[in-house]
Amino acid sequence: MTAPLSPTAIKPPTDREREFAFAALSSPSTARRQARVARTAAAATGLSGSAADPSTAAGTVGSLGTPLAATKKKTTAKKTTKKKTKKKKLPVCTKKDLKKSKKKRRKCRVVKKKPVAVGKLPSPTGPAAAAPITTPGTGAWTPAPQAEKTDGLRTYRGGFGKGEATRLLFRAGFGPLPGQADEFAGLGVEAAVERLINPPAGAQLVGPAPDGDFLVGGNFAPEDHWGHGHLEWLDRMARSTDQLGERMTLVLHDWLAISASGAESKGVHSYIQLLRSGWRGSFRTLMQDLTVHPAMLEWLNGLGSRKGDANENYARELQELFCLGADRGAYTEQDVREFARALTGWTADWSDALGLHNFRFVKNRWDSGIKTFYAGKAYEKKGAFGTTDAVNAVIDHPMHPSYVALRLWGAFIPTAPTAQTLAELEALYRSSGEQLQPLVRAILLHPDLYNGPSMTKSPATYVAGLLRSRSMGIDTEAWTWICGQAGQMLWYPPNVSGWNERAWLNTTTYDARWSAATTIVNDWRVEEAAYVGSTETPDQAVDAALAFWGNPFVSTAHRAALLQHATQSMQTSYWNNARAQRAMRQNTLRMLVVAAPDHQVS
Amino acid sequence: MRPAARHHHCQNFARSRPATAGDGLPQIEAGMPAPAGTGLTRRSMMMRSLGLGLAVYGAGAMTGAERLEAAINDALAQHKVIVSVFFDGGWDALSVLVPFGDDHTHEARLAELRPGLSGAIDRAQARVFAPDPSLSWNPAAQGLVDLWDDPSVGVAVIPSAGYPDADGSHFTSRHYWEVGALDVGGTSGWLGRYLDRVGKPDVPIQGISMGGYLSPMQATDRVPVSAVYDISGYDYWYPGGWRGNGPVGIPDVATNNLRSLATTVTGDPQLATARMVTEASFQLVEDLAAVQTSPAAPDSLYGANPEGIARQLRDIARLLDTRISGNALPIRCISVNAQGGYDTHSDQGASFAEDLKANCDAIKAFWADLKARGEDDRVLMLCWSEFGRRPEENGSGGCDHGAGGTAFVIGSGVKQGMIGEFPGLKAYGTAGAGLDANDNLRYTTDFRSIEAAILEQWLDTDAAAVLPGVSGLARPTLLGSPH
Repeated sequence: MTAPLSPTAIKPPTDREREFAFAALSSPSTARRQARVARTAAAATGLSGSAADPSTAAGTVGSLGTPLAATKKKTTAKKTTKKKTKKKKLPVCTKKDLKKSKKKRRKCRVVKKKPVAVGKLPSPTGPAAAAPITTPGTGAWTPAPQAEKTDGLRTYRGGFGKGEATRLLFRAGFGPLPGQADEFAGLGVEAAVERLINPPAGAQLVGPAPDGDFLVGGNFAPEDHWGHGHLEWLDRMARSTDQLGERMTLVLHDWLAISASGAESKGVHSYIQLLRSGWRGSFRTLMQDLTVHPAMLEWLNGLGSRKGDANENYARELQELFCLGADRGAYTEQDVREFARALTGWTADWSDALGLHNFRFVKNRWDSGIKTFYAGKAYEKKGAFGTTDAVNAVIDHPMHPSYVALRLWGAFIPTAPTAQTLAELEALYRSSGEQLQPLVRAILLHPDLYNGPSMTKSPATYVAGLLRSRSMGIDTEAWTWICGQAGQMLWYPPNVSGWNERAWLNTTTYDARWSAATTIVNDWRVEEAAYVGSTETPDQAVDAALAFWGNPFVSTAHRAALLQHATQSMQTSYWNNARAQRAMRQNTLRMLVVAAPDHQVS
Repeated sequence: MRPAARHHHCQNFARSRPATAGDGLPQIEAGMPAPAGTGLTRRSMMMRSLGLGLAVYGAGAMTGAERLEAAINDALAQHKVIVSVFFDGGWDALSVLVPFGDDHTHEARLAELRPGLSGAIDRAQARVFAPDPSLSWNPAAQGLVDLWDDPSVGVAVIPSAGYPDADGSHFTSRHYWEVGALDVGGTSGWLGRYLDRVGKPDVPIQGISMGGYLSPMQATDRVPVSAVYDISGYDYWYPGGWRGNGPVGIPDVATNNLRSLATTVTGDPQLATARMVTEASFQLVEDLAAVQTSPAAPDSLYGANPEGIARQLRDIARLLDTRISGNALPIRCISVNAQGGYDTHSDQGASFAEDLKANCDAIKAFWADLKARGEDDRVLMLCWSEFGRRPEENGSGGCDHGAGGTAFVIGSGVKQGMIGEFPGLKAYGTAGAGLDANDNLRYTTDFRSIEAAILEQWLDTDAAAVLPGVSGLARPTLLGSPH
């Protein structure tokens, strides 16, 4: 698939080739089976999957008995001590409560339920919640070529303290666990980036497992229950040791977007898994695979597109959004039509019991005529092209590398690269055989990431960051509607162009982030009678609130505002009860740590 | 209760200003139109903070009530409201106004191009469109037909709105409409620039996007705008932080300190946006406080527990009817997303009519609601989509991206009738061709001339100052006696 497109006749894919390729893709149980095997093997040897050992890299799991799980247990134990100060869980708000203003209903928990099943899908292998973190695939963990340190791709040489490490962990992951920012700062930038690219623990889930009556048999049921796809992934974001892997999966979900509003959840689940394993391989292979993935065939109307009645949807977005970009003269309306013809031939069956199934290429539905891609350009191609050729043609397009480089750069750095940096990223992309990983490494090491301005955390990043800062697991399905209102429900990007990363914040999404903070602060809030900090100074109060959130890095202005509140809140005369005031001061300070505007960016 | 005077902000402003250079963010996604999205560029933060600083020096900090009152008084002379209803995905114009009717001009071509899509429309129920009897309303649009028949409301129908060299991309085409120019690099919306001219630096309610997403049409450079999902429950509470009955509770102190941080100037663009949104959020709580005094419409209008556009339009009527000391809230622009998705590449029959009906019914209810409240004379509504779809249907029971699309302008002061003409369906290259070189419907009204006419005729604003490049475009006459 990686051979360059020959200008002369290229054979269309045979049915056999297609069906073979498809069978490998369309069997989500394969990954689960492999992982289960790996998990068993790991449990037997007492070893977890390691980056150095590809045979166990496919493994996974928050299994007990591994060294990492032991670490996790420690964290849990610590939390349990704290939990003693936690108040009994509040009753769930009734409908009547919800009609009242939030202030008036503060004595109950808001739990929004949306148990709308997306159709009962058959799941022969049992609940998909057991699906582990899997399968980077062949060669996934082998070191990728290093960017040559030319001027355009130079490495950051400035100070790498807690602030820089925090930024790296939020840009390339979902924020630090308690102590992790200091730990990364101690590594220096190169070792820190290397640890993200090749995490020593591989891909494992560590920390408290999901807990709550919304689970199905103790697990998420992402293919059967609305919102569980979001929760299952948020859990990975919060707990995976492969933070960059989850981050890149999110970057690709946004870039190569499909939504469960337009594809069956079974397909979306397996598609996300394809992104998760595919990002470490070549982008060409990933594009070939996802082009004929069931969810994509459904989402962008590959299904039903046939000779004489080609559907243009995928042909357009393949070029406009996935590989080339709009408004830069990379393709014409005529190209959209020619590609649509090449992409014909895919179909599937549908039944009430199975939904869409039996996805396949049917040769007589394929337009076997001659198509001309990019007519009149130096890279014009003419032939009886099929699906594979169409994808190869966009990957071979001379404007493709710059599109990939800019998309990736923009996912991590909010300022434009210089022309030289861009050119070197493009060259690196081609010389590495269209690998994303070397580009990601070069970008994460680049001085612009550390010297440049802040970037807004996406809603899922913000929420996963809160969970990580407290070493918390998913214990409420409220995270579904909270992230949704904040503008980022996973599996549901607003349309095929993904989310608009420059419009995360407005008066509604800020309100949702506030709700996220209250969801945690309320469950752990300090009560007057229990509060031990009865003699604390304002500085100590601020430190206690920061400790509640795992001692995050805070800006000078932010710290000053916290301190001002710690001082002024004790000057209000009304309560006349220093102990009660100190408890309230602590509760409100905790809100001000993570609800502050300065905590929305990194 | 607002924070004590924030004199330190002026100093911060002076300190941080020279530290910033360059304008806005670069385009980071190659070839993508820069989203006119945040409404909150770094430049806006600088400008706004300057305004705040002056206010602090000049008059001391205002309370929320004083701030709102100042805006209301200022807006009295100019209280007209524009409501935009966006049909996301490129709606199929030929299924809104269908090219069959008493005049059979287009019917042979229609049967040739889209036998499935047009054949599925119940012709016996389709009301012929009076100004051009070769067209008929889709029966699902009965709500709009009722408005058309209502003598107190005018409906102006634009049968083919578009722009030169139509771009088949949703995102580019929509972006053009939103920024009011054929400019992929535009970062502010056409209503955002209007708000920048007439709006206030501290009144987020002046521009409202219903729902959680800020409409790029209202992306401003200078003044804040808001997105509201729940107009009556918008509030910020502190777990374990009781306010008590005293003049200032600990949560008030917390909010004051948070707002103090939020109004601290920074040269870091996205941090500036985060701070500005934080401050706007707390201002919005104050701006929406009086909504509780304005009752919601009875269920008979929008149905019981309306959702989506019906709920949003119901909320808008309520907002417009809210009074503070007898004056309306200083609202100028409102954006709503129509219910449903219109990118109907396949199975159009499954959703289109149902969605069209829901929207038209809700719009009809909205105008009845406004009339009952006596607010109808200050509202103008624009219904639009980024493009129309291809006249020729595809093999999936849908149709692909096209060019010319239908738009409507509705209001009690709107001159009822047709703007521009339906271009017909004759093939490109034939005499009187209605289709362009890409087999899409030729546009007959440039969308920018509609936006310019709204600015000039409804909002009394110099269109040339808001919309670049409209000087050569003819303006349709929008206003007049409805019937």
